[in-house]
Amino acid sequence: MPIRFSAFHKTKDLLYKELTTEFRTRYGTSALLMFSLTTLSAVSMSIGAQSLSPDFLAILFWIILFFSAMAGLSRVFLQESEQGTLQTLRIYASSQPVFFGKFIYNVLLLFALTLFLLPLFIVFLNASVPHLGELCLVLFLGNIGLSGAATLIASLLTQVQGQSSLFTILSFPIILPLLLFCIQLTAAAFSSEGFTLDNRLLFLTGYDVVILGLASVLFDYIWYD
Amino acid sequence: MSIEIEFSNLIKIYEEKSLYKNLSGKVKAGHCTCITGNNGSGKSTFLKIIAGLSRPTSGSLLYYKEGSTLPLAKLREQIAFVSPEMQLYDALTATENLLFFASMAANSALAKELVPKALQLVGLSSVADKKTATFSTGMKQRLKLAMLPASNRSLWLLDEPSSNLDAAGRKIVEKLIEHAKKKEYTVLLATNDPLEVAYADTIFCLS
Repeated sequence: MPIRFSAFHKTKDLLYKELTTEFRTRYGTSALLMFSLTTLSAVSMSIGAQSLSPDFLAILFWIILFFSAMAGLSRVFLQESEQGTLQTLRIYASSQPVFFGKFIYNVLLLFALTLFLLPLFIVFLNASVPHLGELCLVLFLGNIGLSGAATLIASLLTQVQGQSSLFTILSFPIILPLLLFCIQLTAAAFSSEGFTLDNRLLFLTGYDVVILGLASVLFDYIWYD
Repeated sequence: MSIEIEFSNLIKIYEEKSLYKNLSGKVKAGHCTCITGNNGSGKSTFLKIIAGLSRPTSGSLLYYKEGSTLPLAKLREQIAFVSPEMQLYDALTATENLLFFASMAANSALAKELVPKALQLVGLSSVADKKTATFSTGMKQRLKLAMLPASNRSLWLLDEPSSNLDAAGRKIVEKLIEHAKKKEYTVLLATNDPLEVAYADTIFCLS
């Protein structure tokens, strides 16, 4: 079997394993959903009936999404480490299927969270979205970048104690440029102006490509050394 | 197909304690080599060094296959490892666990063929569809042993393979080592159990 074809199948097998264990245990989804729901309720209750500007809405949306993601995305490696399955996986699996399997799983988890969070956010904060298509594009690119960076950082911390607190601290500077552009573009999608294909969108696409390429190369060293 | 390992002047310092100084020797291809020694003498660490999971402080390790040297990256594709530290997924069934790891080690088609045979070999066919969370420690150890034939790999590293096993389970370990010898796989066994030491062709004692 050609190596690339075999790597594709192994990635698929790993993703299937992640989804099966998640479906049966619901560790990741519970953490993500509970955190996002609690934060959204707290924000919504503090703001009350006030009408917020698109900039402010975008900032709040990404803060909730970022911190909820941090609560759940680190679990892909943390759980392996806690269960003692990480070494077994290191013996039997090669690096690239592990990285891409876990990355795709994180992407799916984050998309599910976004699908859950966005309608509630719109209803609770009385937000209007005149440019839904543009917003979906920003969320798509933002989630890919967020998942790529989170998977890489989570893998770096597998041997470190107290990794969940370190995860957010380490992730923040790496994800900050992505967050800033996502907030700007989301604010534009929440306003009546919208946005066209500009440098900020190209930056998001470039960020995703660079973070995935870098993570794929670095992961070989992390996995084997 | 068998793998030979040559190690020379290995030194491993762990938490300021020297586990071994200038350890040299050879693990012969197709043989069962046993590493014995007191608790804390570094038997498990030695297996981890061979598997590339830990690095020696100094010294060299060379791997050979059919007379030519094998890089560590290629060697990794041949290693099957059973150790008390290595666990399986509690949320998956016995079959799912084996199929997953065997697919990662080889490929899905081969895994589907090997897994039922491996489960039968370790006497777990009747509980193949039960989640491993419901298994006893001995059953989990049997399942870990089933990964050896299911993974279709030719260098077996066994760290106390009979731990938590009853008499029937010990027979399984014996059967597996015989199976490996028949297939000319290289087996490296770390143990203090005299019954397990008896399976070995060569014995190294770490002091």
